Amino acid sequence: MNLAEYLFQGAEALQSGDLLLSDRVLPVLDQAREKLDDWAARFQAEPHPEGLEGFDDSFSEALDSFFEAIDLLELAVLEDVPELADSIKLQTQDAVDILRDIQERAESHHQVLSEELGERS
Amino acid sequence: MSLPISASSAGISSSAGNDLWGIVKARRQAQVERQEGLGYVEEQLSSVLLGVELGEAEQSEYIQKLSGTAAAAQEIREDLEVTDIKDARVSRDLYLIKAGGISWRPFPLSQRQVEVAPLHRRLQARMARAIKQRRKLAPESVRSTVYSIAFQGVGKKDSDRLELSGWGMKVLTQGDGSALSLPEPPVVALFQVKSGSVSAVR
Repeated sequence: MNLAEYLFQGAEALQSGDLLLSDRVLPVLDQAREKLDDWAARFQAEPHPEGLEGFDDSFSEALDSFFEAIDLLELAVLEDVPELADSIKLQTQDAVDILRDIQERAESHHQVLSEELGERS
Repeated sequence: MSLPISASSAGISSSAGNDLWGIVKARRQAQVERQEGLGYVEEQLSSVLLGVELGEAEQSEYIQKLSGTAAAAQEIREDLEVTDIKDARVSRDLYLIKAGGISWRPFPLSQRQVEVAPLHRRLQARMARAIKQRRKLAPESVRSTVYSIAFQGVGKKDSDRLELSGWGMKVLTQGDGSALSLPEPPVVALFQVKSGSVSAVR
């Protein structure tokens, strides 16, 4: 199960009145935070070159949305606040949308540049 | 995504509703800014494509970088693996039991009504009958009755799954935190039901 699925299903569980066991959820959320921190460190260590800096900002935004969704799920589980389910879904969907945008743009640019390079060679 | 017309009609507090709209607005704004940001990338690449700024070697580096960018985005979105949530999830069908009115109904946790599976019929009948017989008794008495019946219905073999230590009565508040207005006596029990067994929510 990937992080986005976990967050969506966690929100679904809260909305349907299910109980999420904190002793099982919280370690998973910490694990996810560590992985996202690793990605953030990678992007910081290897920023995009001139002209592609927008991708760094977008990655940062996507990671922030995931962090926010994780924090909200943690709060919802610890304090028993199922009303946060919608916000968790919104933040998660935002992260997913941003990442999809990045992927599509990068693939598109990759293709165009590759064709351009092929023509020049 | 459809949103409730009003937070109060949706059963959530006005502050939670405001938060929700705030998030929606912020999200829309973020999308606009993101698109503008990526548009900037596109503009830059247009000049790259004209061959003004990059030589072939540099262009190859950009291609390689873009390949990594796409792969990273896909990996974070699809492959950031975590432990499955199903082991952390306990089904909790919720019922309100009013000692004064013997009403059984799902408890609206959020703007959606909670879907409930029928409580084990035999157990349901026994609980309703027991509560009805003791409608004028103090909450403590009702609690002990429900507790006793629930124990019979559950069977101790299930105790490890149901956290029986958390059993008890609870006077409920509504989604916005205000107290429920109840007929006399103001006794309410909230139970979780799983596989035909029942326990009170902590």
